[in-house]
Amino acid sequence: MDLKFLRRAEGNLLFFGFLGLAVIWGVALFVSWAADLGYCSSYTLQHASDPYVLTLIAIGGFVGGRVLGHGRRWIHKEPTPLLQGVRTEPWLQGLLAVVLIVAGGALLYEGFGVGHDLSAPPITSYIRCAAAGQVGLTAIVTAIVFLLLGGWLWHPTDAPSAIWITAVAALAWGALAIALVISTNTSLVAVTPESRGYSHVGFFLVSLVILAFPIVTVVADLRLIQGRDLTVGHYVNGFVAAYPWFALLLGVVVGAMVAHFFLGLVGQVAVIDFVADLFGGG
Amino acid sequence: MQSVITSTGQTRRPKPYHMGRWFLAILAVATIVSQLLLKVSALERVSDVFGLAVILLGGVAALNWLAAKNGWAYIWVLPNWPRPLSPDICVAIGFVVGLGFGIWKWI
Repeated sequence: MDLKFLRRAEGNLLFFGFLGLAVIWGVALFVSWAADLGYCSSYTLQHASDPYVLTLIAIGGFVGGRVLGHGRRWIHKEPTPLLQGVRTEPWLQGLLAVVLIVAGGALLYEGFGVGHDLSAPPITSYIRCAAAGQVGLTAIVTAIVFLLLGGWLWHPTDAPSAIWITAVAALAWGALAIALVISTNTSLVAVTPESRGYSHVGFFLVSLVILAFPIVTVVADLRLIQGRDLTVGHYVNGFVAAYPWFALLLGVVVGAMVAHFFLGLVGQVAVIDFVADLFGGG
Repeated sequence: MQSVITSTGQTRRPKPYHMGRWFLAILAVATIVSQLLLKVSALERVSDVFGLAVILLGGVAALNWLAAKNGWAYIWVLPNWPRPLSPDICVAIGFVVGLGFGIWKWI
């Protein structure tokens, strides 16, 4: 297939993706600002399977980001960073620093907020409330964010194992998704979250920051491919290839985030029971 | 700098980000200090997942900064045993471990 055509298609997709993201951002900010804060203090899940569906969407997005990375590496004929070392540019390096600072700040606030009885709830509480009250919107944002994380952090190197890891991960995710679809667990679950001082500003900030990452990335990618440069995923892959231990730990954080945000809605016992029902037929 | 033989049989010599080194050093100090300020009881809750990750990331960053200052071998490079791991496998292992740890020790 003509790679020039595919590159043009990629550019158009990124542009429309940017427009779509801007719309989703607007909707998310509006919903955040108009949110019923009282709902967050005690709510019932709309479907008992929602936390598991969101978890699978997150994992699927992470795997999907890697598959997308394979495609983009092929379209752009990107070289592997394993041999040429890390390449970067000042503006991209600055962007990476901003992203890491914001992510680091959020992580610190989260750790501090969960560990202390602050009046302001940690980020997790906002995300869980959104996951319970706005499942559709949360699912869309989750898919986007984890697609981005997978494309960034799990961008494929040229190692021979890369295709196999992707195939195994995609199969595992597919099997889990099918198992969930055929499961019949439909009972509602009442959740009693911590009652802290939720605020519209807090919701607004969480939505603002979470969706800012993909929008900035799409804009950066558009600029990069217009200048016939490598993609953002490739540059981050250079970081991952140079700092594999760091990448491993970031992987731990991302994986824990999935469990923390979504499965945490129903708690450990419910998750273990659900998994036992799913695979044990009980 | 330490180099490894990758699974493709090629020698790899990763180069650390220049600016990133300073950023990571600052991150290391900030995170370790902030984590020390946390209550010990916080480690019994899910913040331990994040707290632990931040401590580890900060610790690795600090060690790398020291290595850069003193000309030691960088610890970013994976050990060449039992066989070289690709960064892909590292991220996959990290993700699964994080997910499992999140379910096990959670919240």
